[in-house]
Amino acid sequence: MSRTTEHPTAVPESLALELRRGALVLAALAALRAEQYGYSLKKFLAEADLQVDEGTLYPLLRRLESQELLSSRWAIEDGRPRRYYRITKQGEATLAALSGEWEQLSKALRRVLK
Amino acid sequence: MNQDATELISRYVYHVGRHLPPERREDVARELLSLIGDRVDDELRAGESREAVVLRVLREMGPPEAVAARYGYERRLLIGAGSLPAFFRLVKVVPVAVLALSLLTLPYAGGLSASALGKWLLGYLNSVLLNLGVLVAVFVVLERLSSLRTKPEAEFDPAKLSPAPAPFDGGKLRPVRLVIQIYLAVTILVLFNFYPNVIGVWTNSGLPRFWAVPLSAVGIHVPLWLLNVWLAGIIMLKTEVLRQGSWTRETRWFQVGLAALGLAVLIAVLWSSHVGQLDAKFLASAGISPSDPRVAALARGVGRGLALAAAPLVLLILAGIARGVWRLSRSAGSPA
Repeated sequence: MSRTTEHPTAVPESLALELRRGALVLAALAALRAEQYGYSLKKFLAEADLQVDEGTLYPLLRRLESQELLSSRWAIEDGRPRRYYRITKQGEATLAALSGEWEQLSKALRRVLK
Repeated sequence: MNQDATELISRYVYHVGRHLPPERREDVARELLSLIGDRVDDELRAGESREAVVLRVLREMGPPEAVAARYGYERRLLIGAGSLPAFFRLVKVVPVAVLALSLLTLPYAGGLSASALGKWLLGYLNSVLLNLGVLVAVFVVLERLSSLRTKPEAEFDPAKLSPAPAPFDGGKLRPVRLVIQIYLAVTILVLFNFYPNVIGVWTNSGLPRFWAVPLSAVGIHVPLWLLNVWLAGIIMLKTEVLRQGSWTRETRWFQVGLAALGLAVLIAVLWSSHVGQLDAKFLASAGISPSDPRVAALARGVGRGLALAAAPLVLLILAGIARGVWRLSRSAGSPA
């Protein structure tokens, strides 16, 4: 597994993954307001300092698609077939709701962690 | 793309597919090919071989089973996701099949009184539950056998993955049929080895209608070791085909070999059986004199029945072997 995220102290991988998993749904939905294929999304998130291994990201995209929060289409680009994902209307509504939740949670955690 | 690198990716994707339900394999494989290709292109640096990058990427992605698991098909259940469709189909078949067999015993249920029918119904429900239990056990064993062969993550080396078998039209895979065959082979194995006394013969010649006797009593000799080898071969072959998710040239050849072994079992039974020499001990315990004309009639009947049943069966098996050899030798000449 790629373990690119450095932690100041040894945080068990499973705990770090658990913490990131919920936030990842929000990040993926937000990033897919513009159409992207799997690997470009991974790089986009990495550039935003959100390292995700493909083993977590790609199955997540499929899950979100099965929940009708994302839609996908296959297209051939540079001679390679790629699956492009984009957020749906339902996904946008979910993204708005999740963003509100995130703000609230973030404020609450900041207070707790002080 | 470099040939070795392409082969490494193909092997990896093939092995991921083996842990997925058949209907999802193509889609996930297509996606994985695209994703791995993108990542390898992105990580390829000057002076580095494509093969080395592929190996690194695949190693980082982890064992094929782990990748399949992340796609939501992990072994969380006693029965793997790949086997679930076949399992549920069989679950639907069991009550109907048991009902059909139970209806045959209805005339001997002791009349059509409410209590007799109630007993028959209870017997039917018991049989359904028992058979469902055995079915679950068969699938769980299949699952465990499959997971036993999976190497732990620490040992994973993509270069050591076995190549995907060459394309071979081995015929349609029928999981339900395979599981029924495994189930029957296990049942016969258990019956012949541990409960030979429950195998009986039917007769209407004045003797008890259902006569549960040891096989030796009617003079049929089954060479148990040969029967066991044959049944074990069937169980192993069908399990392997289910695990692989398709027939390969090797498994089809194995099947032809098993058919030949089945013929050998049948010939051995016919050769070594002594029809007409009924077991004296059994006759004494049943209070029947060996000179009783019914004994000779039964022996003659069994002899004729065996000969009548065996002749078309031998021809059928021979035709099956010939067809199998012909198909396999024909496909060997065509490009794989």
